[in-house]
Amino acid sequence: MRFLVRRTGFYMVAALIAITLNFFIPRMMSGDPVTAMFARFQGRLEPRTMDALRETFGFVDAPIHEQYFTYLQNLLQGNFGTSITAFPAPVTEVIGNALVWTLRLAGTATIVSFVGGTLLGIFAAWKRGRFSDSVILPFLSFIGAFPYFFVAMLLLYILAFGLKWFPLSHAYDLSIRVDWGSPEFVMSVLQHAALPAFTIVITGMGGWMLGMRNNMIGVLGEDYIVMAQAKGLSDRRVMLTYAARNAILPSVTGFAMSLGFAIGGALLTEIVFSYPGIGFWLLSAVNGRDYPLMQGIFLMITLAVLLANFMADVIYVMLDPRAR
Amino acid sequence: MTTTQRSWAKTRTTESGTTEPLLMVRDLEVEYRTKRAIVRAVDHVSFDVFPNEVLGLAGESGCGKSTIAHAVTRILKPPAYITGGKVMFNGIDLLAMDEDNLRGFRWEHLAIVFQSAMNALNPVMTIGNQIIDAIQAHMPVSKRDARTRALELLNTVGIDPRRIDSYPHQLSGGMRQRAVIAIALALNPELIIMDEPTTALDVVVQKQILYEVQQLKDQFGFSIIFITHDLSLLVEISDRIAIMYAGEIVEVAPSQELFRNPKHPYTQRLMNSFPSISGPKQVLAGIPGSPPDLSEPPTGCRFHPRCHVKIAGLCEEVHPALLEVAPNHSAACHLLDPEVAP
Repeated sequence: MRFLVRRTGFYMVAALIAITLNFFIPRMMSGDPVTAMFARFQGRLEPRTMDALRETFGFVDAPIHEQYFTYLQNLLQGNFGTSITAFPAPVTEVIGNALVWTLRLAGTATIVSFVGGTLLGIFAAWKRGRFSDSVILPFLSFIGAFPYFFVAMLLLYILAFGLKWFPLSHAYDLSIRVDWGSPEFVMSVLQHAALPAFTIVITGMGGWMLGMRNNMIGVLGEDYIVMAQAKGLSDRRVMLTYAARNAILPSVTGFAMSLGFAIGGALLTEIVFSYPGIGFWLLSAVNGRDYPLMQGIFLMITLAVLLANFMADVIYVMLDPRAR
Repeated sequence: MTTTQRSWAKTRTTESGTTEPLLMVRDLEVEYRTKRAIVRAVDHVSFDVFPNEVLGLAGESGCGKSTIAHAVTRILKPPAYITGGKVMFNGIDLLAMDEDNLRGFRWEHLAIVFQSAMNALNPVMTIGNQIIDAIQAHMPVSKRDARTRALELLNTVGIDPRRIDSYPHQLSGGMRQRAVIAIALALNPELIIMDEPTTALDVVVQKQILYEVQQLKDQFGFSIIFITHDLSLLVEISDRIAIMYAGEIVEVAPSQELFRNPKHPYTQRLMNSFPSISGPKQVLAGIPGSPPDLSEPPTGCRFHPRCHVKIAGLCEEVHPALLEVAPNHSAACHLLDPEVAP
C-alpha cells in the first residue's frame, strides 16, 4: 500500500511537469496561431477581430506567470480552449468525440492483440516445437517486422480497394444517420472498424507472443514447475497458475504502456483508414496549426500514458506479492 | 464422521512384520541424449527401500544421484530418458504407468523435496494455497477442509499456522524448506525423496530440520531416500547408505557398518575427505583426479583411474559386479571378490 501511495505522488509530480512543458513549448515557438489564421483569411479579417481571437485562444499580453496560472485554472475547470480547425467547437468536445472512436478501435484491438498473443505464447512454450511454435510464431513475427503503415496500406489496397470486402475509410457509412439504437448503424460501425482493428491485432500479436513464449520457457525450467508436476496437478493448472502466472509479469508493464499509447491514437492506423480518432485529429491539428487542439491532445496523451503506467504498477502489485 | 474429522492417515499394508521392499529399483538406466553425445548418467542401478526406512544416497556432484530421484519420480525431462530397468512401487510398475495414472499416483504415494526451497515454491502463491492445491488435486475435499489440513501440516512441521497466507519470499530459508516438507506430507505418502534438502541452509537449521524429519518419519511411518554429498549428515539420518560413483552404485551397507568398515576404495577415500569434529586431528586426504566424463566412461572399473589400490591388468579391463561382501553389505570391487583376491 505504501508503495502505491509513493507511486501516486510520483505520477502527480510527473503530470504537473508535463502540463508545465505543455504550456511553455508552444509559447517558445515563433508566431502564434491567430497570426496564422489571419494569414489564412487573407485580409478579410479585421485586426480588431484578431485581438478578440487572441484572447479567446489564451494568447493575451499578460506576464508569462500570469498566463501560466490562468492556464492551470482553465485546465482545472476542464477548459482546454477553442479549436481552430473545428472552430468554434471547444477542444474538449473535439477530443471527447475522437477519444470515443479511438478507444473503441485502438483500445479494443490492443487488448485483443495482447490477450491473443499472450495465449499463443503460452501454448507455443508449452508445446515447444509444435505447430503454434514453429509456424504461427515465425509468421506473426514476420508480419510484425514490417513497418505498420506498409501492412495497413497493403491490406487496405487488397481487401478494401481490390476485393471491396471492407469500406475504404471513415468510422461508419456517412449516409446512415448516427443512431446507436439502429442495427444498420452498428453494423456499419463494425464493418468500418474490422479492417483497421485487424491490422493492429495482426501486427502487434507477434511481439506479445514472442515475449510471452520466451518468458514461459524461462519459467518452465524452474523447480516449482517440476514440483507442481510431481504434485500430480493437471497440466492445465501447472501451465496457467504456475507457469503463465509467473511468466506474464514482465509483459504486464509493456501492455499497460501500449494501452496508454493506444489512447494517444493509433496515429498511422487512423491516417491510413481516415478514422476520426485522436491520431487523425492530431494530424489535422498539425496541418491547420491548431495549437489549442494540439496542446489538448498532447496533454491527453501524456496523461493517458501516465495513467497507464500507474495502472501497470497497480496490476503488478496485484499479480506479484514480492512487489508489495 | 463429518468431513472435517476425516482421517488423513493411510493404512500401511506393508508395515506389519513383512520385509517386502516398498520401492524396488532394478537395473535402472538413464541416458542424456544430446546431439554431441549420449551420456549414461545412471547405469544398471539396483536398490531397495523398505517401509519406514531411510536410504541415503551419496556421491560426488554429477554421479547421478539426482537423476535417480527424478527417474523414480518420473519427472525427467528431455534430453534425459529412462532407457532400461524396472521401478516397482508396492508391486506397481512405475515405468509402465501412463500419464493419467501417474498424475494420480504422484504425491499421494511418492513425494519429492527439492534441493532449493526458494525455487521449489511458486513465488506468486501463498504456501497455504500450495498445500491446498496438492490436496485438492487428489481428494474431493472442500477448500475449507483442505485449508484445515494445511494449518495442521504447518503446525506439524513447526511453522506458525498463522503464516498460512504468507508468500514464499516472506519466509526465511529454513521456514521455506519446512513449508516444502509440509507440502510433501500433505497426502501422507509412503515414500519421500529428499534431494539435498538441507544443502542451502546453515548448519544449525540443517540439524534442526534433519531432527524434525526423523521425528516426522517415526510419527507418520514413511520411507525416505535421502540424497546428499555430505556423508556426515547421512550417517546421522540414514538406516542404510548407498555410495554412487560415475552413475553406478559401488557400495551399499547399513550406515554404522559403512562408516566403521567401508570396503570399497572409493568409499574409504570419501570417508577420509571429511573432517571429524570430535575425533583426533588428521590430514584430509581427498581423492586425486576428478570424476570421469560419462559420455566415455573408463573401461573396466570406472574408479580405476583414481584408485590407489587397483590391480593392474584387471581393473582396467573387467567391470566389477556388486557382490555381498558381508551380511547386508555389498560392494563392487575386484579386491573384495574372493575369486580374484582371496
